[in-house]
This record gives sequence, structure tokens and C-alpha cells, in this order.
Amino acid sequence: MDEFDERIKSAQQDYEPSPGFVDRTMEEVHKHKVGKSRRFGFNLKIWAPAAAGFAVVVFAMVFFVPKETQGNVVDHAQPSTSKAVAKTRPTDSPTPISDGTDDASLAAALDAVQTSVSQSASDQASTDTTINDQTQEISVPTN
Amino acid sequence: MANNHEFAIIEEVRGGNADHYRLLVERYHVGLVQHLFNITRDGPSAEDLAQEAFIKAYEKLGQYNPDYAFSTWLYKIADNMAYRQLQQMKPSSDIADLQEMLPDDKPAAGEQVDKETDRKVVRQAIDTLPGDYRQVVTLYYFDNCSYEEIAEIIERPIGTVRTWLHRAKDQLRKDLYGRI
Repeated sequence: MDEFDERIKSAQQDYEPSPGFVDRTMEEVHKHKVGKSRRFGFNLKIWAPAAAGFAVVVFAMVFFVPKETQGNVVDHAQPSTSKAVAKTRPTDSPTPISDGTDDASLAAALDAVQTSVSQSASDQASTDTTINDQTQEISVPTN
Repeated sequence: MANNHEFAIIEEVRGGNADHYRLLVERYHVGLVQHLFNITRDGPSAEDLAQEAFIKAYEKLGQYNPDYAFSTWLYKIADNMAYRQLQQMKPSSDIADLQEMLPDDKPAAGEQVDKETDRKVVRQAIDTLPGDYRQVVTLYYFDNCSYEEIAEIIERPIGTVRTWLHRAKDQLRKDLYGRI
């Protein structure tokens, strides 16, 4: 402690409790009930976080668990049911992919996909060529 | 941490033997009243607060954690009550009053300064500190609490205690000498 610390310390004021303080205090203490030890009693510090955690779990179960587990049980042993659902599902594809019930429709679907892929590749090549041409046109020679 | 003898007393009281609580009151009442007097600057208020703190500690004895000394827990209860009361009251002095009491310059070496007046000036400077700084200064300088004990009482990290104490000292230097 330096001189300044001592100066602060010296500012302490002494005060003695009045006589009979202990007796008066004990008289008041006897009018109250002592706090009993309670590890898991009604203690908000324990139960409030626990309740909040439980609420989060319940919320997650209600809103995020897949519908299938809430009663729409899928019987994988009966493929015809799922096929029926798949057929009724709307799709944006111009050529609906066959469900594979016959070879002819499967081959047709495969051809359509291959045609689409090759067309895409052709378009990409055409685009690349155009870009290269444009790059050559705008290049400025530097000295 | 509560010593074994103290913890045995607390267990007795928890078990329903209220008379054993007198041992704790007898042991800590002088220090607690003195501590509260340095916060309130008023004897009767300090005694009332000390009595209320003992009663509240008795009522909440089930929540006492024996990892800490009973006195630390008791001071925490008392401090919360005291500073809540101070917040409801108007400050007894402000910095303008303090400046009027201060000498124009720092006293020269060898100059006779009335020690009692100096103590009064320092006390007033402490009273003008913000509540948190004042609490830390009181606990450190007047109650000789360690950083760890202060941290437990005010429920802040030890680093915060050090910082507040440092800032409080800077503020006191500035107030008492007019410069840092």
C-alpha cells in the first residue's frame, strides 16, 4: 500500500453498535422462520431453466418432426401405395419420367433426357464461342 | 469457505435450534454495523440495516452455500440492502460541495494539515464515487476484503473488481488533488 492508499484507509469512521444490539436482533429473529435446506424444492434457479428446456423440446417435437411419424405410417412392404402417390404428384418436367412399369416407356424417357443433355452441351459450346469472339473484339492493344 | 465450527452452527440452526444463531450474530455484528456505517454514514440506519440483514440471512439460510464464508454471504445481503436504500435517497453531498472544502493546491511538504479535516475530505470524496466504485473501495480499504471476497460479494469477476478499484482510485486522486 502506498501513501495514497493509507490516506484512503485512514478515512474509515469507527462506529460501535449500541448496547443490546444482539438481544434485539435475536428477539426479531425468533419471530421469523429459518430457511430450510432445499436442494430440489421450489427453487426458480433450478426449475425455470428446466421448464424452458422442456418447452423447447415439446415445440421441436410438434413442429419439426416429420409428418410420417405423426400417424401417416408408410408401409414399405406395399409399393403400390407409394406408386399411386407418386403418380398424382405434380411435376414441372415436360417429359414425365416413367415409373418403370414397362421397357418402352423407360427407353423413351431415357432418350428424352439424353436429347436434353446434348442440346444443353451444344448451347454451352455456342455461348463460349460467342464470348471468345466478343473478347477478341474488345481487346485493346497496349504499347 | 465456511469453517467446520461455523458450518456446524448453521446446521444446528437449520435443524430448528434458533438460539445457535446468536453465536453468528455475536461474531459478526460489530464488523457488519461498522461496514454499513461506512456506507450510510448514519449509525441508526447502519444498525437497522444490519439487523435486517441478519434476519434475512436467517430466513434464507437454506440457500446458503458453504463453499463461501458465512460473513461473505452476510455482507452480500447487507450490501444489496444498503445500496438499494442509498439509491432511493438523494446524495448527501455532491462534487461542488467537496471542491469548496478542498485547499487550492496540493499541501506542501511540512505543512501542517489537520488530519481530521483530511479524513473528512477523503470520506466526502468516497461518498461522491459511483455506487459500484464506492462499494469496492469500502470493502477493500475499510473491511480488508480480498479481491476474491469482493468479487463474491458484488457478484462480479475478479478482473472487474481490480478495474473498478483502479478507476475509483484515479477518481479519488482527481477529486482530492485536482489532477491525476
